Amino acid sequence: MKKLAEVEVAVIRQGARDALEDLREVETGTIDRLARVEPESLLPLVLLHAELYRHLRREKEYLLAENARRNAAELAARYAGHGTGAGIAAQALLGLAADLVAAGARGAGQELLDRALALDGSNEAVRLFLASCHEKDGDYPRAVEILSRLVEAHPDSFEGRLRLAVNLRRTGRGSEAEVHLRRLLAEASPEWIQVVAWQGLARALLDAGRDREATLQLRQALERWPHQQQLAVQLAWMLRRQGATAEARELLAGLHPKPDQAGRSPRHSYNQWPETALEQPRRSLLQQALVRLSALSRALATLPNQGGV
Amino acid sequence: MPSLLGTLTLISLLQGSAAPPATPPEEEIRVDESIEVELRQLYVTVTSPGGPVRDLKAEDFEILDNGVPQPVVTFARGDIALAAVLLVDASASMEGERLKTAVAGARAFISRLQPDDEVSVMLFSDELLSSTPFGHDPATLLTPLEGVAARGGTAIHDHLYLAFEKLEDRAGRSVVVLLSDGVDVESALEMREVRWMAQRSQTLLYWIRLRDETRGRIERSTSWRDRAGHDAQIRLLETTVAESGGRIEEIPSVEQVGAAFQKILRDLREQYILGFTPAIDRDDGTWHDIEVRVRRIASRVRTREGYFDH
Repeated sequence: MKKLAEVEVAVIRQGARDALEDLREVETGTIDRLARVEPESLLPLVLLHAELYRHLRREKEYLLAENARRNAAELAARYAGHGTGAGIAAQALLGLAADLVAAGARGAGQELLDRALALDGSNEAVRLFLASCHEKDGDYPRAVEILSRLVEAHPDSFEGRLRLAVNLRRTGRGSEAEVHLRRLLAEASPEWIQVVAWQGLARALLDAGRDREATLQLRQALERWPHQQQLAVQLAWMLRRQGATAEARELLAGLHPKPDQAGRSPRHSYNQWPETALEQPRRSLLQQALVRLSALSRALATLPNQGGV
Repeated sequence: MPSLLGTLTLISLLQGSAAPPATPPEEEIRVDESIEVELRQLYVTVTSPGGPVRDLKAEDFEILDNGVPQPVVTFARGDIALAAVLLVDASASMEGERLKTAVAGARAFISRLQPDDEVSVMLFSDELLSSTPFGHDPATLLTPLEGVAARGGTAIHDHLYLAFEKLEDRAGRSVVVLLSDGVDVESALEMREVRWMAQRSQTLLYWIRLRDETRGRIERSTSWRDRAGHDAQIRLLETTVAESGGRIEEIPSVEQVGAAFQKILRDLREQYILGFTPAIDRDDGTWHDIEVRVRRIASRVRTREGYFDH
């Protein structure tokens, strides 16, 4: 991969006119030929160019990084068009999209996610990433749509269910949110999901004017997770609002700062891209690519010498 | 939350009873009648184009409570003891030298305190990272903060609420000074809920607003709010600052923090403290608009914008 980067950088640095276009032409031609000779050989190349994209971004070679991104997306699309690899191609696009959104290029990332969704509508991570994009854009109805399908296909997706409930409440469907959150809280999900679910349930109850129930839920939550500061803050504010000033102050007096702890607060975790959902697709994609290295080797042997490049 | 700031107890001095005593009676003090009168205090900053106006007297002021003039019953200027919480954003955007510089800037505030003043310093990200007890010795207040590393997200609203709570039982003027860019992401509380608290306290809220353009645009689209949502929260924070009688001190870089803290302290030292007993006191929870005018000179007057009748 480093050698490929060096070749590409050298081509551009030579200062030849239209060097990047020439590079693209050669690369596109090669992809075409490989696709004809051995379509399965494209998958390792998707990963190679995705890795190249990350490398070039780190090196601040943005022009070439964009070229690598374009190649990776093109390779994934070609691979998907081959017929059997739509699900794997969706995973490849997802990996690239995750890099893009993490780098702040949400528009380009979202475009790839839409393509990935079209290839594999049941991919949990694609739906989680896409829903997160719509959340950040404030398009909560679209997030609900995407997450509803996710939860239908993956009822065991705790994060999907949490995000669905949060967005249902945002779209005025508090009672539906309440049902999802209560179910979520009845199961053994990760701590950050439990805490955000409890906070969301309290909010939904508060929206419905059920203040006492909301307070009760927060009390239960704090009993279960006594070190969670934000549960204490939310409960204290509700007690203050209800006139239970002394209790609110007593509660906050027991709040302990966390100077040394690493890790994230539950609400901070919610605000991150759903990276944990990527772990399994990335592992699986790498395995699939390794299996196809021999196909790539066979395909490359059939290519004519590319001369200068 | 007590909105009652002072209780004036009317005590009558009565002589002992009817029959003339054989020996001269000792004067007896007896509480005959006790009336609770609500005393409200206003912290007032007066400036003219030439700078702060420092030589005003009680009779120079006019207080309007829902448009009705109120007599000034107590008057003081300047150095009334203050209790302050310095609320410093220590999220990941303040990593490294930036947090150290900000904390060093807080020293400019603390080192100029008077003996009766007291300060607590709170460092926060999406969680409370550090909180000192109230005091006024810079070493005692700042040394515990040295080992704290900036990290995580930003929960301004939650920690503003904590600061207001922390000041509830302190005597004298209470002040919160927030140092942050103002973009809250992870708070459990909405800004309107903090405003609810602020409107029911007498605490002044100052905001040192860090607008460091060199560090790129701040992401205002998050999983918790879209851009419009974030902007609305920031506007509400601005409103809350103004309603409290405080102000926003904008700075372009963290290196200006010390100077900003000093300006705020100067502001507090130059305040007038006016007391009045509201003529209309229904204790019905309604909002009262407050306006303070200066009769003598053309000036700009800043004080809290109102209070809830509780």
